[in-house]
Amino acid sequence: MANIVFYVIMDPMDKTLQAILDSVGSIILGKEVQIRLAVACLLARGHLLIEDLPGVGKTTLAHVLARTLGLDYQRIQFTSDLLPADILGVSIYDRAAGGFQFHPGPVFSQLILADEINRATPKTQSALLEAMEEGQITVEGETRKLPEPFFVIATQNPTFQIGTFPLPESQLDRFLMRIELGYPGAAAEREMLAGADRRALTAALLPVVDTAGLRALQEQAAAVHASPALIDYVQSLLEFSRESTHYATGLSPRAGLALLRGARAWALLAGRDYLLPEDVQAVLPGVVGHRLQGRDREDGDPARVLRPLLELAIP
Amino acid sequence: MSAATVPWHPRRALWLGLALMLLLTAAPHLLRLPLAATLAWLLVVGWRLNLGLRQRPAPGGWTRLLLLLLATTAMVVQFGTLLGREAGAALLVLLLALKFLELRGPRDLNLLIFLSYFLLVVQLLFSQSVPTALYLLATTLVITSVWVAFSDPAGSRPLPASARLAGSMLLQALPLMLILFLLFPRIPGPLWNLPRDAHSGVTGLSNEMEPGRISALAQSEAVAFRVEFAGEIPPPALRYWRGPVFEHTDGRRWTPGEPSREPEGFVPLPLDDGLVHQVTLEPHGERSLLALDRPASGVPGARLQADYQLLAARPVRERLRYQVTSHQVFAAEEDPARLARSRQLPPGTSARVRDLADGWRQQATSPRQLVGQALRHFHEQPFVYTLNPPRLERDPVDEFLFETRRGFCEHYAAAFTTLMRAAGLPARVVTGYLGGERNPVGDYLVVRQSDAHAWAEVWLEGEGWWRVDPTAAVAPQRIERGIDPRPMREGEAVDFRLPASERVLSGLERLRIYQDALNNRWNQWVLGYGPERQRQLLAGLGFPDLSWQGIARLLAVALVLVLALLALLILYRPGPRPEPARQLWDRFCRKLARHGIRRHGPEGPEEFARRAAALLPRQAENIRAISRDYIALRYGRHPDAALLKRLERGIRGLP
Repeated sequence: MANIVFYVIMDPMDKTLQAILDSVGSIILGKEVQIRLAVACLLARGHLLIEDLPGVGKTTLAHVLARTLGLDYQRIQFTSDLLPADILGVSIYDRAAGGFQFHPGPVFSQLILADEINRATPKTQSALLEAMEEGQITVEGETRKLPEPFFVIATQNPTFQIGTFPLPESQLDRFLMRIELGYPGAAAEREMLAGADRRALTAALLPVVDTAGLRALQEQAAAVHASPALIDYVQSLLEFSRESTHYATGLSPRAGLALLRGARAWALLAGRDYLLPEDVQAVLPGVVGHRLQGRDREDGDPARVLRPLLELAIP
Repeated sequence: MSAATVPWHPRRALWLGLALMLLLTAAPHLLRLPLAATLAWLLVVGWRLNLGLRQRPAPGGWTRLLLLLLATTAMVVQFGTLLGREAGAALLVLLLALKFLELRGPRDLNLLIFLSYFLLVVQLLFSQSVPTALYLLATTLVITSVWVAFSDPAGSRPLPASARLAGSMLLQALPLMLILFLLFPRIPGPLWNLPRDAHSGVTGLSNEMEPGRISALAQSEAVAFRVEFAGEIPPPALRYWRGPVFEHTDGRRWTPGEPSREPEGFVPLPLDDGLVHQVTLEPHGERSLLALDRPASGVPGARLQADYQLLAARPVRERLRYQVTSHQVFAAEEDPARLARSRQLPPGTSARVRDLADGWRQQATSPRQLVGQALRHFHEQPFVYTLNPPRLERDPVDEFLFETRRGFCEHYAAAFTTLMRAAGLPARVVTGYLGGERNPVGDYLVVRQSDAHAWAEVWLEGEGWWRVDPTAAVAPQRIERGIDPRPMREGEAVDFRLPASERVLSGLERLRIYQDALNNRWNQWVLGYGPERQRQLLAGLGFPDLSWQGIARLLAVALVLVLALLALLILYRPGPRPEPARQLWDRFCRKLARHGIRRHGPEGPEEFARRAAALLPRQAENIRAISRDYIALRYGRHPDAALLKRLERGIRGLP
């Protein structure tokens, strides 16, 4: 088997979903699967971690998604001297008002691109990750709700680069999916090189959906039917990860839930209101890749780590 | 103790289950203990149960020590010892209650469980009947259930679920039990000696006879032995079962006399074909082996004496099964010394007795006539056959013949033999049993202690030993019927029972017949499963003449095989049958595999259908329809039973 993941690329029934995919695909060329995974992740109300080398289009993807989905967008460039207050906001004494005034930080946006998240110190990382988990932040004893929807797309350079603070496993868990973009194919790259400036094209994009429409799509995704037979399959995957000698630790129940959530959104993108094992397999590398450690810790190749899981027979 | 620091409070249901288990385990023993001990036992168990239900701790050490001393003292006073079967079992039962009293954690609980199992086994020292076995099995289930319930780490497994689990565990142990029972090397004789008091309850004919001995025995309904015949069961008049033979008397007691001086091998000379029968003798604590009058063949491990008495090498302390052949006619040869001993009269024989015998001798022309005259005497004089004769003080034979005239078979046999000797004829007393009831279910005879009997044998020159039953002259019915062993007034005449075949049986009696048939099978095949039976079984299995080491090896192999089989069953327990849609899908995949299109294990239905349709363009439409239906059935929101039919049709339509 050359490729063990059977991506079933079918067109969504929903015109809006098709428009979203088309819109993103018009800027990011030759990355249908990654775009679908990214959109599925957002439809499943999950946060997305993109891990790749600089310059392969991570930021562009985040930007395009924000434009297409009609979300207000902030980019936070993580550096080693970034402080939590730089993200969350600060209270400053306002002489005119005669009191402290809260100045919200960049985190108060619907879509945040946390660029190079592993360059910041763990303290700053955790400030963002807490916001991701809770959907609210607490500054100076006051709890403030974050906007709804709230997405974080974080990018991360490969951990072997110098000056990085790798995210601990517990924090990786906060991301529904981790994807890699990779180099574009020759045809796509040629089109990109020959075509117009990506930044200008992005700026010209019009939103395809509004906030209410996006929320409706998210609800639709959550309602995708998972039959007992499919639950059996997911369970057998979890059990295998726990019993197999390939993995240091098995998948957590939360990983199982994440797998179903991601697969549901993927099924919606494929125009179905029920789950197939193929949906689970399609999102499995994205959902499970950063949660599963090979027994042999040196083995950094996620594809090799996941292979036994993907070769598991469907019950 | 760690249990003291961590409070241990099992659920209410567990406390109640534990108390029930203790009660069931101890009940058979409690029934044997004095009432006061039983009440004390119940009080201690109830006390601890009450404390436990209210989550209160066990009573303090001094209280328990005091109770232990009290209990032990009471035991010593009651039994005079702490050893032996009765006292030992009673001590264990009391310790069970005291251990329950100090129950404070899992450690004590485990001890209690094991003690309960042990007490169950102890019960087998007292009874090995079918009801006992059933009771012990049921109690084993209860103990195991309680154990399982307490072993649940969360402590929340309900008792019925525990009982189910325990039941399935015991069922898995069943093959092991059978193999251990059937193949454990059987060695003749007991493996260990039981405490001396283990056989105190057994009854049977003793090796001496005096007035009142047999009539006391005859009031017991206990089974003496059971007999199976190869052919026809002999008629009631011939059902004399020979036991101890007595040649010597001091006027009151009859004893075997001098030990037989015959060479080791006494060879009887039977003149007829003989009757082969199998006797299963209940333990009676004596050496004599009962057999149809008169046995002529040897029994392995036993000796046939010259007075035609079968004697085992050791007292019969366990149920014994043997085959023997008996004859009615023997060659008329006898050792003159024995004949001389058979004329012995006690010195104090009264003149009245001698005169009576002399009178007969002068009138009679032949020994046969002499015997007839004696029998006529018993028949014509007002003799009464009774189970409860008056006491005879001074000279039993004289008093019985001329004064009381009321007696049981031993009185008649003793008096008749004395009279014959006084008249000069060699005679002796034979004890044994007369009669036996046929069990129609198992087709065998049951002989009970109430059938105990005594009769006489007279030596007729040229004819041999002749069986004479003087009781028949007084109560002819006794030969055909059993006596009704109900308690009687002194001197009251015996009531006779019709044989079962002529009586209208009550439901209870009918039940008793079935029960005895069951008991017989149980005795033959379970309790009586000894070296001989085991040899037969192994020969039937194709292992003739195995030594006990060979049997042990066979046992080990069988155990390993059964354990391996159980392990395989558990390891490769077939999963639940896949649902129907999945079975059809597998059939579909097998069909496509014949076309060279194999589905990979992780390949989902949609992907596989797409691939198959591309590889088999002519069937593409069918393949798509099949996969659509299958997906709808297994993954769809509303699986429709009608789809299943369509799926089946579609798959059948595929080449």
